[in-house]
Amino acid sequence: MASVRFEGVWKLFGDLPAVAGLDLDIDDGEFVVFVGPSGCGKTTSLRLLAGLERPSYGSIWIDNDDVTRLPPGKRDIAMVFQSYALYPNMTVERNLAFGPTVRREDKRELPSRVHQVASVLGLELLLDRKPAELSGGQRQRVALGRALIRQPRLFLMDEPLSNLDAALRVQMREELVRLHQLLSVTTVYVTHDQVEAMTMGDRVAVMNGGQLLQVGTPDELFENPGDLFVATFVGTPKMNTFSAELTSDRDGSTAIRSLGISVPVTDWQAAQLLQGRTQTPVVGLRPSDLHWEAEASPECKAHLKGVCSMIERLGAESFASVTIGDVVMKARLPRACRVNADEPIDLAFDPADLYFFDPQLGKAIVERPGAAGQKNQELQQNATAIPDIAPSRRMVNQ
Amino acid sequence: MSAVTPAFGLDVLGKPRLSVPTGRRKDRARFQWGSLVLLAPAIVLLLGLFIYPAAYAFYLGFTNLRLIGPTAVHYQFTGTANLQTLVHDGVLWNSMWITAVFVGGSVVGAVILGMVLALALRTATRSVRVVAGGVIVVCWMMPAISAGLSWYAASTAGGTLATILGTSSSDFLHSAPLVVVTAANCWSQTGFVMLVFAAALRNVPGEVLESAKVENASAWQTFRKISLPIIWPVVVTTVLIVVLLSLGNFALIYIMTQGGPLNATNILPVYSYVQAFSFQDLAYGALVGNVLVVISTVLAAIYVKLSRVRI
Repeated sequence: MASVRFEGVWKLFGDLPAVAGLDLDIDDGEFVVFVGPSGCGKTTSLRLLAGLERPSYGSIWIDNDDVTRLPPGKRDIAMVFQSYALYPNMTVERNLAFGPTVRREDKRELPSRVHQVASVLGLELLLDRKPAELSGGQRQRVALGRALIRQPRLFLMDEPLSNLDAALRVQMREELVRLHQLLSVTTVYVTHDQVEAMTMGDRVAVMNGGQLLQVGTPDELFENPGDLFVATFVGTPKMNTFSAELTSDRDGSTAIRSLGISVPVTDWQAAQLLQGRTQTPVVGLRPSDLHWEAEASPECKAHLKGVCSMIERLGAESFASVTIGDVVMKARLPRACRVNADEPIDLAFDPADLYFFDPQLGKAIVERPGAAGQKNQELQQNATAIPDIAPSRRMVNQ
Repeated sequence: MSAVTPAFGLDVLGKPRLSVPTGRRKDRARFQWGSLVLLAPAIVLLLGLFIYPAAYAFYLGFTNLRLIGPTAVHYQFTGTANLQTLVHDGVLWNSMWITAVFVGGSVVGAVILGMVLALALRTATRSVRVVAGGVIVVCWMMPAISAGLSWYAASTAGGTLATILGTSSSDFLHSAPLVVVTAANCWSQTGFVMLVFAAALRNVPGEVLESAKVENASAWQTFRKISLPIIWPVVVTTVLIVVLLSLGNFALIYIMTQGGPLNATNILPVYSYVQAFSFQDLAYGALVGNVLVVISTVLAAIYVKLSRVRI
């Protein structure tokens, strides 16, 4: 159990910054996910926390200890590596027992500890096998077991699920979350998969180019992305973006002109847009907010006509690429919509679902009250009345 | 079982319902007579340049052939006469013992030194690695004659070693000859051992070592329990190669001591040479050589068997 603090941490490889000025506080018991594309510095950040790399500048704290110069073995952490890093010459049992043995922990307790961890992870029948004789999922569980047996202050996981097949990945994702609920040990988890990040993290830290762009609950990132990168990285399929022009009608109401139509924006959007300096914001619209006209709700006051250029049918729903003017937009369509490629389709959206970004800096220029904000307020109100809601898993940003 | 049985699915007992075809399989290796034609040159070379000379040398060991005199030309098969001499030859048994000490000492020294160097160079800076690695490899590449002369010059009276130790008149080649020649051989084999071990250690996955580091394992525990077991097959084969290289290292000892003083460094190849060309008893020299061939063959067989084993 521990809290973690990164204070202005830089890591340069040669002259190349892999991590640039990372500032982040992680609370005791929290499950924080570092997510970003390859080479964004997320794994380096984790290795800095593990002590496998030493920061070029800045300091790292675990609880109230400055661990910047502490070797990895002295930090009381357990790490699960992407390759699992099992000792190939040892059986599963000896892999699990290696840590306690080299740390000269009580030998009499060791067999029962090994068996306890093995039973939690369903490894009892595999104890005398070597890693080469295990499947990917089994190896992954042994790596996890090696971390669990340590009972550390901190769990560090470096893309532990990336070598598993899709079905197993979903299963292990749930198991990891369950384990975290059970043990409530502070966990830092690295992944490039935004679905993994959104489903597992109490909070998600989005990185790109060595910089921490935004950290927040999954809902916050989804509802109020701080910039275009976060907006397009979070959510699948990724957010549609297109340029637009601000216009004012004679009656004083504000609208945006784009995609060949004029869309009146809501009052709260207009207020923030008019404060901004740009007249040509970049506008974002999630595929899930772009509806099929026939099933659109009354709030969807903006209507678009396009041609479906490609359609991917997933069974329960479909994703269509729709050409509107010279813009190609992704839309999530219900099962009932049987449009085919090269056929016209009518779409609609609610202007309140639009996101606005500065065209030069990419920063968000309109903060949305959003469903997450409302839900958070409701939860906070309820939390006082019913204190035992989700005690270990923090749905509420604190 | 009929041909229309579907090739997938499970039967009521949950066993796969497969109709596996029978008959001659196409993926089995088959002997092809045509391959003999392609192998013929290699077979001829092997027979003419290895099997025949080896068999002939083996035969000579059981004759009364001498370098000069009447039996130099008209020699004949003498049965087990030479073998009986050999069994009662005290010098030979002493030579076997010296060979064992020389080879054993060289192997232990070269393997430990090679491992230490390989481990040390792994964490060294690039410049140190290049310079030190280069020097060590040059030691290994140096012909036995050059190595022998260097060590002779270093260890004889007034040589480098004596000067460093402040006793310039002492002759280590006289006071501790076996130690000096073993050290020289060790010195010349270490570069090879280091290169092989360095390559093997590079194959130990980095994340495995980092995992041990996170577990707070010491450097010695990591080496002893993880790196060494992983590279163990390489260690075994390297030991056998060094044994075979040392066993045949005639030139080094002959340059330095010629087997002396008083047979103190008289390893089997040297003894064989001395018998054949100094004492002119070619047949007996050949027989001693045969002993060496038998020992080497056994070791080579072990090597071949072990080198097939992989984790």
